Amino acid sequence: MGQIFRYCFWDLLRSRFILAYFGFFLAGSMGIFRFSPSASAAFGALLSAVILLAPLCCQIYGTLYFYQSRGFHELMFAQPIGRIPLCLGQFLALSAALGLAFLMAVGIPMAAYGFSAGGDVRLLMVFVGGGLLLHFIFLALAFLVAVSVEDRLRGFSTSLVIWLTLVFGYDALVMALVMKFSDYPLETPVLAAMLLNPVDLERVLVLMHLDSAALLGYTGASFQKFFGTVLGTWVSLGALLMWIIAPLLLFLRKLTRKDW
Amino acid sequence: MNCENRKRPFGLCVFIALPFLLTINTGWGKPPLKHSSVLEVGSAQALKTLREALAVADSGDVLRVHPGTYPETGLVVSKPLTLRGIGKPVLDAHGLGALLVITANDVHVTGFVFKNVGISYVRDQAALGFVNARDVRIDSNRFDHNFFSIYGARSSGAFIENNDITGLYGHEVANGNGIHLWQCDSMTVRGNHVRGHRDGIYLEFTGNSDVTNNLAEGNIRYGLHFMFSNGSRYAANVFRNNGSGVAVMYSNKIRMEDNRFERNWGSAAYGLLCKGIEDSEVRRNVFEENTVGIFQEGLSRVHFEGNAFIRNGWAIRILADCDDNLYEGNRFAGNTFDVSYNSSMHNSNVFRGNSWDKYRGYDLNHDGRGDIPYRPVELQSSLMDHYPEALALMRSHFLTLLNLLEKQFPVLAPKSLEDDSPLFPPKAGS
Repeated sequence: MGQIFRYCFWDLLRSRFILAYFGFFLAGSMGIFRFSPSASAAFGALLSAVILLAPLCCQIYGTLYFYQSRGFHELMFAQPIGRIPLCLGQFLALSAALGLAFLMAVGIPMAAYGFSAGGDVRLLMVFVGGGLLLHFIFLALAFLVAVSVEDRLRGFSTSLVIWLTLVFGYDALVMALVMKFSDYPLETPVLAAMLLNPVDLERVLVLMHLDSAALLGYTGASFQKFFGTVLGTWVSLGALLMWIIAPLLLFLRKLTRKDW
Repeated sequence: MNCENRKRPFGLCVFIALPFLLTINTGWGKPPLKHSSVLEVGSAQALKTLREALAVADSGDVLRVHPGTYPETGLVVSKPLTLRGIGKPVLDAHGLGALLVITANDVHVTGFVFKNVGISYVRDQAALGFVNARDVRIDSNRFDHNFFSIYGARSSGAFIENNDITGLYGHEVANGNGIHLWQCDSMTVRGNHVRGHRDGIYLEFTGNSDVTNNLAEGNIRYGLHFMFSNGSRYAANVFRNNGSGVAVMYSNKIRMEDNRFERNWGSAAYGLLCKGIEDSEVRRNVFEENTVGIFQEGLSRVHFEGNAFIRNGWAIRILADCDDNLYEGNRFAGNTFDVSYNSSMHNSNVFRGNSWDKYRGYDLNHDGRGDIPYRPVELQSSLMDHYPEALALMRSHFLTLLNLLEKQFPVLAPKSLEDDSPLFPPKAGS
């Protein structure tokens, strides 16, 4: 697995997609940090980009990557190496490559413009750590889709639907429910809803550390009370990790049972 | 004709007699110097304490208090006197009751340091109080660590100027107001610096007054708190970083001009909280970095003109019980939400000729006005007015999408709530 990881990782670092992804994010975050009036505004703008684009890119490229490895898989399956180490190695390599691209694309401008998140280390940790986890989550989902759906076209559309659902559809549903049940106290249900969607969770976690947290009023206060505690931090980390582990386990299960 | 002939000699009489009347009654005028004398107070003087001096002083006397610390409480000034601190003498209450209460007219207190008036949950004890007094003058004093600093009641015509006031900080329950005026009239509060009190400046039932050039910052609750005080004006003040900003309630014919409301940031903070205000004017103020620039409830016929709203969460939140207000020539820049309004039905407020940084219109006839109206109430902000929990979705892409749709097909905000002649915002960099 280690060898597969090394091989795939170095191979990926030279791929045009990763370079383009890195370049795009670098240019974007450079621009944002250069022109934002404050660190808080910069992180707000960057957050919007990350929660929209990182899931999309990971989902699409992850699916594509797995489909394109078909020949490689068939070749390797003839060798004395299990399916699980092979594909897990690929997954880790892809995660590491995209994660590294993201890390550098965000980190270089921060270092260049001296934005240490306004001295807020927690904001930095939540933003970068959460961003990385988002990459892993959507890559895991992408692999799961690719291994379950044989037809590439259907695979891609499934991936897109997953992205649309988590980024737009889920929030629409939450909004609808909030409107429907507006007569009831909704702080806790909304909080739970935010915990269940990794994109929302990352958004809320970062938002809590920005100036705009004050705009959230009463809802924000109850959020702050939860995310401010040690328990809240562990629960949200757990929720994000569950979103990696669950699809990965499913993926491995499907992988071992798949009839190539 | 006849009437005027009779009146003129009478008016003349009063005019001539006036100085005499005044000198006899109050010793207010300068001429009768034989009555007024200067008493020196200090450890090296004949009169050792302020209490002794107040006991022997006659109306119109000047008490010159020399440097030193005077441990005192419960002093009463019941004659028209001038208390003049030389080299900032300190009146120290050592955590006990009130320091000095003025019950006479025409008292002038200047150049003192008032310290350490203790907390009381029963009485509003203050470093310097005045009750039933006309034309009191309090200037250039320093107030340190007092429960209430200046407390006026049932008085009129006082001048409170250039005092430097620091409160207890701490919790608002165990903290009094910096300048507290209750049932007064025609007061002037000018050039004071108030910090660390519950309310920096508090006016209740205090009409026709002037609050100008003050700086209120870091107060626990409001920088300025203003209730049932008709016909007052506050101008050129700075309210910064106070717990919940400035509150103005249940008053009419108020003028608020050239003030700055800065950095009142927090989940329940406002630059300016207006409630039940009528026939008033709000002009040329700057609202910068407040959670809510102006919160408006029950406002009628108020004219907002030439104000600047910069980088606030909400520039203006209007509740639908506000009617016939006019917003003209204001500038909105960098606010998360420009205007929120909590009804989709009725609106009688008028926006015209404001400049909005989010305006994306054009000006074909070059009259300096945009040709298509600007709708300042975003779907986002109306949604959040109706469903505060939806704020959890702030900055989500779903809401961005909805906003875009609302811009094309408005449904939630009343149609009349729009600026049909928006100005173009000044170009960046100019």
